[in-house]
Amino acid sequence: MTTTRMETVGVRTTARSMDYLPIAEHGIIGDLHSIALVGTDGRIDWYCCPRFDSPSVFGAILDKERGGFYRITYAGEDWVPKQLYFPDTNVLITRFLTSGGVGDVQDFMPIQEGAAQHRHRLIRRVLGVRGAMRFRVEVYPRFNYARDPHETIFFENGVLFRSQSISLALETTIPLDFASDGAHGEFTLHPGETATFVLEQVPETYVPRWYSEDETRQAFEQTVAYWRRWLSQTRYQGRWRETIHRSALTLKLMTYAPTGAIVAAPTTSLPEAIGGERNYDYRYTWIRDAAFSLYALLRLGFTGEATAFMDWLRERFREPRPAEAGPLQIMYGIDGREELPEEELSHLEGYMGSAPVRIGNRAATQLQLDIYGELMDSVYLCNKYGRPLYHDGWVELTRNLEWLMDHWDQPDEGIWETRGGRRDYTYSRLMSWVAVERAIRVARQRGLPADLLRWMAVRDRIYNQIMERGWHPARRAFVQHYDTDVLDASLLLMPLCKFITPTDPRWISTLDAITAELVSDSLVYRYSVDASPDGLAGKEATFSLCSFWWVEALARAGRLDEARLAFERMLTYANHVGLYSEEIGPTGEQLGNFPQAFTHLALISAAYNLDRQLG
Amino acid sequence: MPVDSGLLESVARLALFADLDRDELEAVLPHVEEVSFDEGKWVVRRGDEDVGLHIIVDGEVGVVLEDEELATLKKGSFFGEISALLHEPTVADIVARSAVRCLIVPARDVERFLIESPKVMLRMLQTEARRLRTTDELRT
Repeated sequence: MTTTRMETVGVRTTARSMDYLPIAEHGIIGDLHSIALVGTDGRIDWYCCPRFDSPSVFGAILDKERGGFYRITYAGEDWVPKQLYFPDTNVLITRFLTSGGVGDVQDFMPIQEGAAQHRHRLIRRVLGVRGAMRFRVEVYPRFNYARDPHETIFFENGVLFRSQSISLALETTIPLDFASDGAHGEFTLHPGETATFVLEQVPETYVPRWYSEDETRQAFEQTVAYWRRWLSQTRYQGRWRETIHRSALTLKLMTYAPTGAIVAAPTTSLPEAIGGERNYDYRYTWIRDAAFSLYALLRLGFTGEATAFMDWLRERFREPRPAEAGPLQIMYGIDGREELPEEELSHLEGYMGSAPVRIGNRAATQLQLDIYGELMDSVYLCNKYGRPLYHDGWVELTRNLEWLMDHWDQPDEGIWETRGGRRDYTYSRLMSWVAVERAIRVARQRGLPADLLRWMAVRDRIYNQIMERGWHPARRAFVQHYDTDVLDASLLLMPLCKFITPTDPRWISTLDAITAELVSDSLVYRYSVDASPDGLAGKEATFSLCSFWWVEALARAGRLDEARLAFERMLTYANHVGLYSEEIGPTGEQLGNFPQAFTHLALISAAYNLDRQLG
Repeated sequence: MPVDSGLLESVARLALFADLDRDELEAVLPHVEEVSFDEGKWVVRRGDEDVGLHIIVDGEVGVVLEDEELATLKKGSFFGEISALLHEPTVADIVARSAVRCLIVPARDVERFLIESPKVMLRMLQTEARRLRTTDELRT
């Protein structure tokens, strides 16, 4: 098919603009291929299709004028929004309450288990609940991060948006009109009436089809059933069950079904500080984040995800890499690709003007030795609670571990991916110790072949080095790296990974020091940016991941009242549907990419262990 | 009356014409007429002859048979093609459900129009195929 007509490139959404919603004012839906952020006013302002790391189609969260959005909202004035999940699912309901009536929008993305060809569908079903409710629908796609033009073609059963790289059909019986390279319309629903909008990736020659109410209801019921069936695998019966379930459902949403990879977060460049430059693309698989995610899911009884991720990881082991770089890269694309070139999208203003907007991530080439520890800890747990390790997997693991035995004692970029140069980070040594220690455990428990004498010697050398050089006698605390007196919240993992007894005086004094310097009203900073220049400009907020680690460290130290209160306080920072981004600002606002796997997995771990300690 | 050139952009977004470039579109449009109907007006009555191919540019119409509204057609849809192609009277009433603007290819010109515009004919066939598929699905 040839055409010479294309619409204007990157035009502003002049028909109807909108302000930025707070990051926390969103729920999330997904189909294990991608996700969409749904605002409390019914807007979808982030959606990449067909995959997490595909270019955005709706990206108004990164540029309210240019990014594109898809909104279904009450057409009148003075309404109150509510948002909730259909119980035990990732089906999101946005409610519009007015004095004259009530209407709901059900948002969901069907999941096709075992289907060879996944249909990427985003279904929005609008229901009249009470009174006559007039809704407005606005669909303004902006393909390829608002860089590609597209055509808008009106069919009998909907609209086709056709760009050079991807086409989307919006299938509906509601009449729509053209405006600003998109479609819009209004419609009224009475109690019991419904209107459905199916947005679907289609071939460019596609003819939109008619969806019956029965078909929509069936898709809804199948999606609900999928999520409930998945959640029913969990064994967790302790405190905060609803909260833990929501975190587990959110972690699952961040898995990419075709490969088993887990993204760190499904967004890019949501800022760590409004107006700041710490804006990164998290739509990739960090070995560290994914390993921790598995740890959390395994704890709850979700073994399928662990098995799928281990299979994905084995493929990475097989790819040849330069010896000095180590057998693993710190992060990969969800399809396993190593190249993640970083690019700044200067045509987008960024969330509330927080530029630059980045896609890709140049941290991929950093050396971060801790990943082997997190990985081995997951292998250990997977072997214990999930699928036992196979022979070939053990051979590959030990080969990679041998590399670490020879290379652990060198500076690296560390867990926080600072861009201020390599250092001897205590956390990296800690995790190197974990890698060797867990490998020894697996070898012993399973009777697997291993050069245990050499491994134990290496383990002890790392241990002694941390105790000598990572310990700052004057501060009476373990410190960020060997040449500083700066504290670092990553070391909260020391007792959690069983490097040190949680009541050891060295640890208790470290915990007290961290509590005094890095904790503010139960919220924890990663480190003091002023004390430890990290190569980046600007301040950052508190890191929710670290806040949950702190809770867990308190609990393990036996300070249960303190831990419980801190945990309950952290729960108040969740958004209205239980989601967390990466950071929390001084007035409780959520900042950074959203939702973040790291935060949710740390919540699960903290809740699990605190519950156990409370008995 | 002849089509206003201002209509060009709107018409270009209708499925039937989506594959035509600007030159092809400009060549086609002089052969169609633009008509408008107020809400509630009859667009076509059952049994009418020579009604021509109607293509909806704006608004929506109801397809009515024996007081039952069978379907709603909207922007991008078309009707009257079966009557024109078979040279038979229409079998249903069409009523404007809002203010409606249509393009009409006169019945006598429909065959020539389609033969001279194979891209339009393909799009029409696709829509007819989709209608047939939908009918089949509803039956099963």
